[in-house]
Amino acid sequence: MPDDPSLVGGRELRTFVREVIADVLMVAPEAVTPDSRLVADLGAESIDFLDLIFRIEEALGVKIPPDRWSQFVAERLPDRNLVTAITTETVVEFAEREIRLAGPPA
Amino acid sequence: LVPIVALLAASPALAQNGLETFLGVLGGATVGDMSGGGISTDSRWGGTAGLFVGLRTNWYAVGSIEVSWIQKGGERTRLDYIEVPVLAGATIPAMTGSLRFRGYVGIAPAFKIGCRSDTVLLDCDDVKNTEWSLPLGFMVLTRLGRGQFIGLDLRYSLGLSDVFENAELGNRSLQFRGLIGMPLGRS
Repeated sequence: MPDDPSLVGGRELRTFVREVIADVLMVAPEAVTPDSRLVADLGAESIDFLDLIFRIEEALGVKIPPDRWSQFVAERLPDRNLVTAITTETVVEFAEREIRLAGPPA
Repeated sequence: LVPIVALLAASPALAQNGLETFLGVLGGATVGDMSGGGISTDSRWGGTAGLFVGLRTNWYAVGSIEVSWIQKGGERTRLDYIEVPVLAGATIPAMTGSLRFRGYVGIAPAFKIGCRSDTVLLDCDDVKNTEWSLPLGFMVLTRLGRGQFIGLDLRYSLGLSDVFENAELGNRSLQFRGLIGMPLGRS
């Protein structure tokens, strides 16, 4: 867990998530905006979300079961078409939730 | 068969969005021989090229079907087949760039389309029309952007049936292939 929950690896959480998305999806960081639709706009596939979760897990130093992403999306975006509903901001919210779930650093 | 079915069982979370499908082309080189009954021929090199379609059914699992021309045989016997491997595998991210690793296994019927034998011991008239093999392979993949991907594939194919009507010889080959693919959509 980072000492300052708003920072991940010394970067602001949103910046970190944007950079990770750009790296995983092989797109320019400038192409990743808060409203970018990861599937519809950036071409993300299921394995890419697994990669994102692994990298968030590593950066936060916490264990994140892959099912937690599915549960989060089901709760956060009920009955939505996930092709268009999952955005950069969705991933940021997921990371924020994981930080909260992990609790304060020991 | 049971692990393959289990591996390809659709995840409800993904089924909600539709299964991801993809298609592509592949090609490369093969080196193989014929072996059985305590003997084996010297190896020979050949080529392979084809098409594939596939789908992702859950986080890791990928199923695919190929239709490829492939050269097998050994030493002075060249066998040309149209092979139709049905494969199931798992993909994991390498956590660097968009690199992915995939291992897979399957079953591959192959249908003879040509034969040339420069040895009197093996007669093309005796070659069976159908051959079965067990492919095992490993791929390294990376994306090009918006779902397109390229990769390298190393496959070992073990013959499960005899090549000839009158000789206990099966094909076995190593295949070195490059591939390029793109998303087909969601079913």
